[in-house]
Amino acid sequence: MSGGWRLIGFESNDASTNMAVDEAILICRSKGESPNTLRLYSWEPSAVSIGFFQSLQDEVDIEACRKEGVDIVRRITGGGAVYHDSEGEVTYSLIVAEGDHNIPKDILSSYRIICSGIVKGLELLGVKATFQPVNDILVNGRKISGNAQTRRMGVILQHGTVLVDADLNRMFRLLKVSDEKIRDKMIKSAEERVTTIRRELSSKPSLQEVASKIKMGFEQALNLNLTPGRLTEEEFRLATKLKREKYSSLEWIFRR
Amino acid sequence: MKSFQGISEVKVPGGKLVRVKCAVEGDKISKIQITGDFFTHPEETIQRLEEELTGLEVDNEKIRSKVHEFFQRQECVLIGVGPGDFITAILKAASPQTPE
Repeated sequence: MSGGWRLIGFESNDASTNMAVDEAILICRSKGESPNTLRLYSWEPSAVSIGFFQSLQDEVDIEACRKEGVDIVRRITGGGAVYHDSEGEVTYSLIVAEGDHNIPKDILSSYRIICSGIVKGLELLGVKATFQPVNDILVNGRKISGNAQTRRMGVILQHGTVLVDADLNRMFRLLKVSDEKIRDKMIKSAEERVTTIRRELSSKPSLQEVASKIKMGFEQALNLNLTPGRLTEEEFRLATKLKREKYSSLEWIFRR
Repeated sequence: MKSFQGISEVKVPGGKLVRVKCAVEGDKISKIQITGDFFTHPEETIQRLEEELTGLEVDNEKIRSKVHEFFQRQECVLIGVGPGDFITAILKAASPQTPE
């Protein structure tokens, strides 16, 4: 399959489902059984995801997450720890076969191209953002979107966040700060380094609205023709298996 | 015979964080784990590096040439971090007086 692109979502799932679905699509795409896909989703309940190489215990206050009912998941992509607020973030994933749709083979260039969909989506919402290599999107120097990519079996998977609203206090309760005494300072500096759509527009659009503009952003910036679809039976079967055997397993979560 | 565990952290300027935890028994690395928020493509590279470092003599020159030789041999793309950052972090963690 090549040609057409499929849109999945906007939908809301728990953390292990979200990561399992991304990987299931990647695997099925690599076998040529699934089309190139854009997925838009949020996290219910709120979750913390950590990068492939991160140490869970170094990065996450596991007890605080348990107390607050926040999921924890390890991604198959590198990068840092992210707090995904169920009401404050839209996440996308783009799964495309290498060589398809003129996505550059060079990883750094491909970040720029894929992120242009997010930049365009933000522009459609009225937020002027720019791509900042390697993998960030900024508004007036403040980060509004973080992105992470992996390439496996000839397929690119890039997923990333769009911050709609942020509860930095909560974020710093859940993510580990090296020194408790500097927690307040960190929150203050995060306020200077991070921004949200709500802050930029002085009003908060619904996640649905943000997702719909991101979809349009990808269509326009990457010249995609997205057809709404759903998971194939095989993707669904594989995602269920990956959720159970990989993303929910302590072995995977505590891998490092 | 000395035996100890060391931890180090290297913040790559404008880049990512590399953390190394390492156990040394006698004069050899007996266990090593490299963590952080960097990217490698493919991701399995880091595990292979850890495997190749395990059992290696704790000697600055040997570690340095091992890491360089490893990355020359691998078809691997590093993002946000370079071989030199891994070397700095490994040497720091594997040295008995870990300087801060």
